[in-house]
Amino acid sequence: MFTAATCTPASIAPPDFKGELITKPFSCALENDRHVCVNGGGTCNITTDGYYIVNVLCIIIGVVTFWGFIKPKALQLQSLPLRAWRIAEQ
Amino acid sequence: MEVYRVMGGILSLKNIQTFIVIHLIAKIGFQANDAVTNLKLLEKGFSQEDLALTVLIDFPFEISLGYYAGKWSEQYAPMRLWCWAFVGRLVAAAFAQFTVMIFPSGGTNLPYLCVVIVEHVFSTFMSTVMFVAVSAFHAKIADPHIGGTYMTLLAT
Repeated sequence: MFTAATCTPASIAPPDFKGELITKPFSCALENDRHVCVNGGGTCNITTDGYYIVNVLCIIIGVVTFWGFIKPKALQLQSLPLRAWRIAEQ
Repeated sequence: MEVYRVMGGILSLKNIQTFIVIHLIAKIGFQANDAVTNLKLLEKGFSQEDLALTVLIDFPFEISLGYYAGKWSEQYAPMRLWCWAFVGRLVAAAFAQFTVMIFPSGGTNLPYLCVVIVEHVFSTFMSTVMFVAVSAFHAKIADPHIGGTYMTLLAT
């Protein structure tokens, strides 16, 4: 979803390719398409790698939730007396 | 049946519910790092042998540092230690991304392998500290009368 990659066909048809020859560029972000691309003698150029975007997003979410919610809440829970964690005696 | 009734009682505690929400949200920040970084390294051309070596070197560190993590969570309050490790783990996620970014174009070399190992040890260490700290906190708050049920529930 976050990855953008284009398959470029070879300028001269290579002598050894396994699949169908690639004649026009297409998106090869997905693993399957990439195999089709490479097997057809093309090269798959990744323009944006989704890994970086997702990782940065995760870290940002982590930072925001940590200082916004997790840290104050966790420290508050820790300061509770043990009684707060007991269920009422039946 | 009695056990389930006790478990339901624990779950209906407001504090436990907050704690569970914290547990759920806390995972998001480093999920991408934990799940994908190793795969990304392999995709970039890091060899499987080198990755195996990295994980192997990780192991003794994890055990010995786990001991210190236990000691620290006695010395400092467990959740405070957990919070530090949380920050450390976010830094580790950024560091991991940096490591993937600087993958040498000529393939793996020794300095780069060292960087990967350091990154990996750091990341595993932080997750071990978090785990030990939160376990210590679980042990602290668990009701001794129904300790087993309480601990199992929290661990889940």
